[in-house]
Amino acid sequence: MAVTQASSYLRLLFWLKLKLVWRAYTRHLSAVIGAILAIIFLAPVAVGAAVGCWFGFHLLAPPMAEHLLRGVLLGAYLFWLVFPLIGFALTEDYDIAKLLVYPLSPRMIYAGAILGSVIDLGVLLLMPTILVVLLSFSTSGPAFLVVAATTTLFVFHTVGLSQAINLATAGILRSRRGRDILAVGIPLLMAVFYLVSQLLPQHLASGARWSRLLESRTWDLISYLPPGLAARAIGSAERGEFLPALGFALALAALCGLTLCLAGWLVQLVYTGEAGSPAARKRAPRERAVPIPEPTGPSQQAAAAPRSWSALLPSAIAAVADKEVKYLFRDPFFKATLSQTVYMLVVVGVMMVHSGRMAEEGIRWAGQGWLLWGATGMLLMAQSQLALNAFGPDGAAVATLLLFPCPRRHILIGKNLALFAALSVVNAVFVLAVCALARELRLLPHVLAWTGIASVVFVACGNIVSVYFPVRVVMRGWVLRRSSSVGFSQLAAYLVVVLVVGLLVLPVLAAVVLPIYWLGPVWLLLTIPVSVGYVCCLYFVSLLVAESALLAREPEVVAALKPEQ
Amino acid sequence: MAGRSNDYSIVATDLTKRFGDVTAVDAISISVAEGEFFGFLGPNGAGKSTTIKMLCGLLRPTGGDIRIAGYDLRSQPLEVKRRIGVLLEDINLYERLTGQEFLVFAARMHGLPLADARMRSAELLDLLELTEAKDKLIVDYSMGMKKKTAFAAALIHRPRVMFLDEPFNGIDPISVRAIRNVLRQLTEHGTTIFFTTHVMEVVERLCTRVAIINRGRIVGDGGMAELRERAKTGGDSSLEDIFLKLVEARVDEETLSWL
Repeated sequence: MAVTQASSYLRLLFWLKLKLVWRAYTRHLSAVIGAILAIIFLAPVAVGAAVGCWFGFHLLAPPMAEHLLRGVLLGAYLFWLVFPLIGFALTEDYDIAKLLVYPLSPRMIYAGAILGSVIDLGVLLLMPTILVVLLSFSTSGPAFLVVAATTTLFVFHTVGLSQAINLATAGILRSRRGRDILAVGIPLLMAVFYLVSQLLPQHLASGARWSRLLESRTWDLISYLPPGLAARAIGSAERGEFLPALGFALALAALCGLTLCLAGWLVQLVYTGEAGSPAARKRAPRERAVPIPEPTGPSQQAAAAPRSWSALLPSAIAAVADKEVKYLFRDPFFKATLSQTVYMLVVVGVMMVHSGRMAEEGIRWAGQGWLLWGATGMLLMAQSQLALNAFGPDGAAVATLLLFPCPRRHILIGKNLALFAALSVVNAVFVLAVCALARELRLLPHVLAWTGIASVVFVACGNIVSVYFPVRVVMRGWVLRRSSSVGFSQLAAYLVVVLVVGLLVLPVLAAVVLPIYWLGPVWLLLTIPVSVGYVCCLYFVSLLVAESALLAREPEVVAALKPEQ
Repeated sequence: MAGRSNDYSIVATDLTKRFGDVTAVDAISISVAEGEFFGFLGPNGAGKSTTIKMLCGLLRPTGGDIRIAGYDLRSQPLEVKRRIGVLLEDINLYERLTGQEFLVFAARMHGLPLADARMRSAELLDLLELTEAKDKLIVDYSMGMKKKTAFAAALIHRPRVMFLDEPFNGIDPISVRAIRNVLRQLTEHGTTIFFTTHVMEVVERLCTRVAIINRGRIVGDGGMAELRERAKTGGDSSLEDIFLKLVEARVDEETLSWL
């Protein structure tokens, strides 16, 4: 009876997971296209990795083939353990807290999660490689049985651990702080990964270093982790040494059982008391004198108050700028963009180090001198999502913003001031770093002038674009997503806009670059003021256009930024 | 009913909103006098929230005219917004600000000096029992706390007209009483309140006039006596009886077969 009920629950949980994953991919046209693109790009990668493993297992000499197997299984193990974090955006809809109201134990939900993970992208992507392992090492009938049992145990153990991490950390990942940390942490982790992937192959380029690594105590210890045990069992079975193979497989099975028990206990521990309500606070009802505020306007008390710096600005501009600065520090949208800047700095840094080495070796290439300008141009383009979608981070709160009676140019100026100030600081640090990496510190003032003036072009264009193409942005896990209701025509229009902004910024680049490389530095005395005048005109025109457009399009802006139903 | 805009704070004439083929609000006309506590009732999906969003300029009507506090919403939207306070059912606050920061922000956006903004926000936070949470980010507030914050922001500049969509939903009884007292005092000072709720007792206790909307059309408008007469429900019938009659709700005693 209990078994029937358990299997019924598991079937139901699997059905739920299937529905939610399917809907996540098919809810909107953009999601369908995203899923198709993911298959087009990721399927060849998964198959390519499997084919690479196939050749490796068959071409490498016996001890090296098993080392490769250990490395592959270790990679799969780490990928699966980290995947809950990376795949969190996709599986977010599968909210365990929603299941706790039903008569299901957390252990049952955990078992359902393991079963449901069969259709997770991370598991599906690694299946071709697991299949290659099965085919490559099954040299006989008994070997096939041992290899099949071992790979099944390995997959079961890894997925079980992965799901335990997923469920145990779901509360943290869904919390505001968790999202904020992920928004910054994951891109930084990717930057570190990029750096390691660039530096490690150079470090291990010589065969001697590889041999030292494979003979090291660390590699030996790693081999006693579940992927190592699985690799040893598979390797022994391939050689026909079935006794040690069974020993390693049994050790893996024991570890698997222990992991599942511990993970089940952990999940139970984390979710027990989830529905428990905090003790109600007892408050004595108070009879209160009700203060009715004066109609809008300064009171005498206010007139006596000390004036602050913000008193120099109109009240609404100061209020919006103040709010925007707080948002820039607290909202994941800006933090995620900032993290991309750090990632870009790492990539540019690696490119510049390579370029420097090539220059030292006497190798010249056409783009070498332009890396500095290209990198800062890319930086501005990456930041354009902040300027060109000024109302995006407001989201549904834009309805509140547009209910205020202040002139619309005050709202725009407040937003522009805050963004320009923030970008100026970020860009100054970036420019200083790239100039130092490129050993071109003499160009620091020029590059600073270029990024500073060009930022105004982006901000100016952003005023108009933000009114006509407001797009809701939301953080799903660590991924920053545009609203899925954005149509292709809108995306195409957005690309055209980026192209136009790129063209509008060209005169500024020319004003800085032409005197440095062709006309002579003295020309900067003329070209810089002219470019400043150009961007000022651009800014004021944009303000005029955007203000009247915003006033006319307020309902449309509110509708574009409201949460999806 | 409509058109006498001099005596009325809210005048909507032939107000219509269509979403594709669906007519959410069908050529309704409403006039609310200055200082009136106006209840706007209707079943789910009747068009209440759509009407409020159109009246405060957040949704463009398909047809009709709106005048608030004597100003035409289409040609003088900022003059209208200067005089209204709005609490929508779907609360849209800047959740990465603290409660206090948001109230000061709202006050300054209405042109209040900083010191005034701080003073009023402190009083409102105290009144609504939010002082302890004033330095927490709104994203960490409960739904009731968010609603109280939104109410405080709608009130902070002392508007002449307030639109309140389900203001008491999810709010504790202590704060409900405080808000009710504030609303009473506001109407005594001449503020007009346009108010929706599903709780009939609250409407009976507070509102001086009630309109009932069903499937986008006004099916009843007036004081309790007028509504009773319209619904033909008898002299001692409650607002709930009147409402159920006017919206032609099924009131049979049929229940679930398996209970």
